[in-house]
Amino acid sequence: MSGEVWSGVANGILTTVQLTVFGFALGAVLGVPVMLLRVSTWRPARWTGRAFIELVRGVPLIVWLFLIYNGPTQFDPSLGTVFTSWRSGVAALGLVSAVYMAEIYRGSLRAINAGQWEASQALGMSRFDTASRIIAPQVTRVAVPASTTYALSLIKDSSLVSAIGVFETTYYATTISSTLSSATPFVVAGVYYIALTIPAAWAARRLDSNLRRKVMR
Amino acid sequence: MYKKIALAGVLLLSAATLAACGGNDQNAPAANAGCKPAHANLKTAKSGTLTTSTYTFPPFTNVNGTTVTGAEGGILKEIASMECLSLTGQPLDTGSVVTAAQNGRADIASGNWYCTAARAKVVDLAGPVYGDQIGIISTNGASTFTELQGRAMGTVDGYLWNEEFKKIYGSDLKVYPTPTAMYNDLKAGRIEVAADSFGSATYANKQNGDKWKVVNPAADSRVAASKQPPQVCFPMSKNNQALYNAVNEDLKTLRDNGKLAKILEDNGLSGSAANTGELQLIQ
Amino acid sequence: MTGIWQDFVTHQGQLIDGLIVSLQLAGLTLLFGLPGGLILAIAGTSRTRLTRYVAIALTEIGRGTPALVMLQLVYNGIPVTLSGLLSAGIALALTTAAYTSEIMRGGLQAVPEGEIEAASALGMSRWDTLRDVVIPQGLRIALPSLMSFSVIMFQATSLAFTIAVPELMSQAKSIANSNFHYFNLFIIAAVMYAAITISASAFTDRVERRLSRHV
Repeated sequence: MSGEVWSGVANGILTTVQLTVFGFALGAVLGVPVMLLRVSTWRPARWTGRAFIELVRGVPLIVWLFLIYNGPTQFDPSLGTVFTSWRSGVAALGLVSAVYMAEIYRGSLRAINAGQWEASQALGMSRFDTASRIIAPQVTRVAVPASTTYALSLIKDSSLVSAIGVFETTYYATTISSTLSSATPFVVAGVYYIALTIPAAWAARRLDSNLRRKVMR
Repeated sequence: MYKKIALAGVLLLSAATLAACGGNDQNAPAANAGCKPAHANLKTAKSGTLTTSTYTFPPFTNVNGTTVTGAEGGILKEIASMECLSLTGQPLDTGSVVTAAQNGRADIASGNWYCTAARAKVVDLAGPVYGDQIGIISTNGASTFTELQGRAMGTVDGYLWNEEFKKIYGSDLKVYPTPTAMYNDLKAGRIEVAADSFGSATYANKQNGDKWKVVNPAADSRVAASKQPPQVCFPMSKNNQALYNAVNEDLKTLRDNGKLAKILEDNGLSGSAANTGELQLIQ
Repeated sequence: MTGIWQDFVTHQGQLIDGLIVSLQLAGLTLLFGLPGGLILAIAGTSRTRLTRYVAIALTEIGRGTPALVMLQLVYNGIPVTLSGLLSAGIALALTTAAYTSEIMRGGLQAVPEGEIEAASALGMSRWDTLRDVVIPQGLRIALPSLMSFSVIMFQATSLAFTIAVPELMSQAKSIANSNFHYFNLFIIAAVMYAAITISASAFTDRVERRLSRHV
């Protein structure tokens, strides 16, 4: 395992982190409207939300990547400058994250006692105020452990983006492996991914226990 | 809570900025102003640049970041410089290489794509660039397709003989996504023989200390490519006729002045492969 | 649209064969992965420090390594040469074991403490308690999450094309590489994957509702 392989594969680490952060941020934001659709009391909205979630979750990320990267240009070649490798990658990660995050938000919403809606109503608060000032902060807190677990898995899912030509960790591992005709670069990539996830997991646990302490107080 | 919202806002904002910056600079000026292109007013995906969508397939294409070398890389570089363009590689999974060129995201696809009639329906095939042959790589130098029967065998996705092989060898045949994956398996003993482009097989053999034998098999009516040697083309979009014509004419120039043969030889291929004759699409 | 249908009709045999391989691979993954996850879950709560640390280390490695990298490692990185299908099964099983061990640990911990105390008051050994009281209930609690994770693993089999397993994704790519109808074939693959996963997750929902009825 020469130093060249280690430094070569390391070229992609920053991009891996960027892909994960932007993909997750996009998903965390888009997840809110998707969740609102999914829990709506109006049936057509609820069904739209549900169909969207099922469809997006039903197709593997690798297929989404190929479709988002190659699909739009199929209809208008000039879209190629809009859907660059990097943007298509972030869009695919964001799309898939959005539905997973929507489901996480929904699960957290269910964990909040319905009595709080009634109590707030009794206190004369509007539905919007209740949602934004009473329910949302709690949902966010409850959703933290599941969201961080998801964000961690996204670090690894970002490896698929190499297929559409984004120069991240797995991309470098693949090219170096082809040139050297050896599997070593993948061992190196594995080490880097673990090195990324373990501290991230530790930070996530800290965040979770901090939040929990705040709630208890 | 507000801090968190603020944080999310900042993240989103930076995502937007980054996405905006991530785009390619559309109007980069041509590399050097004094250069006179062989064909005037060519439009490329990115002005000043000839973009090739490709993947690593030595000795034809070697990709390192956006630099493409190897035989096809060398030929494209010559074509680019004749048109006063600089060559940039867009490395992709084989599932996106051709689509990228077809859609005009890249100008031209490279990586040992054979000229076939089915492909010509979807894209314009510039070429023939050079002639290729089937290479059978094995430990004992098997030279007929019949000899290979009953042995664990590998081929690479995309070769036009794959369908015919499936009929002959059935479940003994494994189709690999990349030549690298196939040669790893040949080394590991998962397969005993492999079919590949002759040039790629020779290259892989050299990389592994010449322990195998590479043979061009005897013609066999069951395998069309053994009777009619395949030609290699550059798949291009059907929507940029000017560029397609230019590439074809530039190829002719390179063939006539001997540069094409030289590039092939420099990359360990036979120089005679440059004498392709007319384009013959494989049916 | 007609082109897509045309491509499906022409190549349906190859595509369906691919789907069957995908399902077989998913089966193999779960067959090795789920028992692995249970073992890791139990070992993770062991009183012996060494066992616990080994289990935690394996879980972290399994969860930290992308499936794509894991596939390459098992296929090319170990001295034993296994077939593509088996390698993919093992690689994805390692990922499955690491993830499901967390889900199962959650399930096992959700079994009320009182029941374990009651079992020991009845003179049951620690192992018997685990086997007869904790595991059956814990797994039942974990079942819906395990099922949705299985659906995710079915999708992950689409990565096995990188090591020449002839599953759905690799068949779709292979066909597209010869006729260049990439977009059509990826749409077909998407629909076929969605058909399986959507019906599987509908089934999961039913099981979940059924189980929660008695809680």
